[in-house]
Amino acid sequence: MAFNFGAPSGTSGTAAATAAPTGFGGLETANSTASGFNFGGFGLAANPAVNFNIGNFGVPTTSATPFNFGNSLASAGGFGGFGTTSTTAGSAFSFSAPTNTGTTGLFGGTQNKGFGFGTGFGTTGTSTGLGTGLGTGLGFGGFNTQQQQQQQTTLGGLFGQPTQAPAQSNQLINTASALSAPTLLGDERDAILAKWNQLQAFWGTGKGYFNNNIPPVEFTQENPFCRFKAVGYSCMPNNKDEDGLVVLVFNKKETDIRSQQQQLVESLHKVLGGNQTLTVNVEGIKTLPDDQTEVVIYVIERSPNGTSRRVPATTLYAHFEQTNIKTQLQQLGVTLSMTRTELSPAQVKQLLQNPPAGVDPIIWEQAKVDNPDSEKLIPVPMVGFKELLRRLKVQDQMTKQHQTRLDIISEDIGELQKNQTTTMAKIAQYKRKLMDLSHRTLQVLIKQEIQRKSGYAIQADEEQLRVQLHTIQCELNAPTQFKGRLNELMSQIRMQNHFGAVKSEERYYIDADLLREIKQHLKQQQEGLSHLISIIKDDLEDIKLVEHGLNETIHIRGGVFS
Amino acid sequence: MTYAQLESLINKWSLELEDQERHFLQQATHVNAWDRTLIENGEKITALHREVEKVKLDQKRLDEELDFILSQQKELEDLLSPLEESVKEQSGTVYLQHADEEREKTYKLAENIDAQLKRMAQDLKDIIEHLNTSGSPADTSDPLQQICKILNAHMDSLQWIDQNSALLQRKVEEVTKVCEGRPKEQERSFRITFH
Repeated sequence: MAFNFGAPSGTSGTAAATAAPTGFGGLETANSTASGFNFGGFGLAANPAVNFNIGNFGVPTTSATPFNFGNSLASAGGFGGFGTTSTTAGSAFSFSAPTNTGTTGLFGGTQNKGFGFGTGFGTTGTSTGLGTGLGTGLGFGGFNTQQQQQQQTTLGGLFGQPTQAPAQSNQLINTASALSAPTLLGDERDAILAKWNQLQAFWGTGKGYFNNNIPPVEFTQENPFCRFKAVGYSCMPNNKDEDGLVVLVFNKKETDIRSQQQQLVESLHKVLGGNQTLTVNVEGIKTLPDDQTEVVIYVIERSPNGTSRRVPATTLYAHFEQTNIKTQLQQLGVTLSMTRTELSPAQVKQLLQNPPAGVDPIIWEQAKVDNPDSEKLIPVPMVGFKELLRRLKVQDQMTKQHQTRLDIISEDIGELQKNQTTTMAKIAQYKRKLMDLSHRTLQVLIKQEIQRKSGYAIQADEEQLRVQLHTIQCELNAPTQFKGRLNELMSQIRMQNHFGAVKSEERYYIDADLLREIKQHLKQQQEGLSHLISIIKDDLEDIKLVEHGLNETIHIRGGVFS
Repeated sequence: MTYAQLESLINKWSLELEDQERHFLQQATHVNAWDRTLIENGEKITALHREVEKVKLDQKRLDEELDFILSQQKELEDLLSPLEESVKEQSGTVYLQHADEEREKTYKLAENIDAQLKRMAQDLKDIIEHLNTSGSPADTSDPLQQICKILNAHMDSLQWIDQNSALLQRKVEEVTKVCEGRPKEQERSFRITFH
């Protein structure tokens, strides 16, 4: 049951199961508590595959290679039932259990360590299901399907003959041996030790003992087997070196920094040598989680001939990094200083090409592809919960900042709306005033005219004026036009207002025929209007030409006769 | 502690490890998603801020213009009041000549009409405002609304035509004046040259 050695095919499991209950199949044994020592079955989808494939500790499911050392496999006893079988103490590897002595225990093997794997699986295919399960190229052989073939031999060499070790570093070799074949005790208990080491490696802490002569390997979170790894993205700064921004992280609270800002500036000035030509300016203050504050500064240097420039960031940073300066800064509370400059394209390329310690290149490539904004962001490994926590805190800060910004903006908008209403009121008032003034002007004019023309007889244009005004008057007062209708509308509205604004929800449906007629009429109007407009435009153009011509000839004329 | 115990512990811990790892990855994806949202939000906020700044500038300009208008109106009023005063004093004399009375009537009529027109304009504005505020929200498919819009557009174009035809008329008058002035000048210069 459940012993899917994790092979994708899953057939292995059964095979294994049928085999001797102990040993490999051990999973099912009585007190096998861990059906899951999935050495690997940690089910990681994005499992960082082991770099040097020691065994695909975490090969992504696709790779099939056998070792699925666990990828999201249900309970595979990864390496052969690491699982447990606690029936025989530590005989987990008793893979070597009754039947397959040949395999010499997967790991525990004293000899063939390396190929022990391979041989164990590959060759003794018959051995308990393990073989079959892993049959798909398990073993180290299998491992190498992913990597270049030539590693095959080296892997063997890796385990078996450390002396022949190829380019892999000693650290890696040691780690590998610690994880797979420790030789501390020389018997089955080594298997348990291996498991223990693996566990430690996955967690990212602890020491792995594997040899009596060689000191233990320290496991840090950086090691390639650590499970707590993911990739996040960070924003690249885009300030240039000339902007001269240097970041100082103080372990004081932001409020303290703000209140002591002036003293801070002075002390920084002293640190820089108290030079009169230099002035320290604070560009920005930001709160960081855990009561730390980030202060961004730049220094302006005023040369005696009047020009001023900013000290480039790199110079400033180098200056700060000198030991004596550094201690002074530390007294002030600075925990960290760095430049804020954009990364040159070469640097960016380099960063992108080399995955940082312990991150599998495949994952790195994937992260690069997934980058939502490759102009501004670069992938950054996040190792361990602490890192995640730090990021979350920073996000929190950011959100708070956004919040304050939004508050400010909404205040501004409220202000704008208020101004808007005042402005509208002012506009209405001015309009009324204008009308009033215009009327008064007219009155004054009239009186003046009467004064002026007193004694004269009625003149021709005055008569004309009278006639025009008379017609206008009649039109206005005509019962069905203008004034009458307006008054009607006004009274209707007043009634509506009086009776509490009846909102008529009626929809007026226009008769289709009528609609067509209206459309036609409007279209004709439109055509007429556009015709008129074009005539006027043409005439304006012509007039311009005429004026232009006249002006020219006048000048010529003037020239001739002067 | 025997190795068996160690082994069982190891097994237990490995289960835990598995669990923790799952959590870790989950959290990591969350963190990344939140990062992305934060970045988007940041960008939106910057855009919003820019818009608000623009609006603020516009409003300030508008306020300045209004202040200018206010000062102009004040000036006008200052000019007007003394004129009014003096005119009032002068209209004491009464000429009973028929022509003068006619004239007075005509001009009074003009004033009357002007007042009426202004009142009507104000009423019209009120009505329009009332209709706009109490009317139903614009439903672009409604033929009435469309007709309304078309009529508005026509109105605007008629106003434009009005303005520009007046402008055109003025220009034509100017040009004719210049043109008429020229033959005379030509004649004059002709006489000067050849005499």
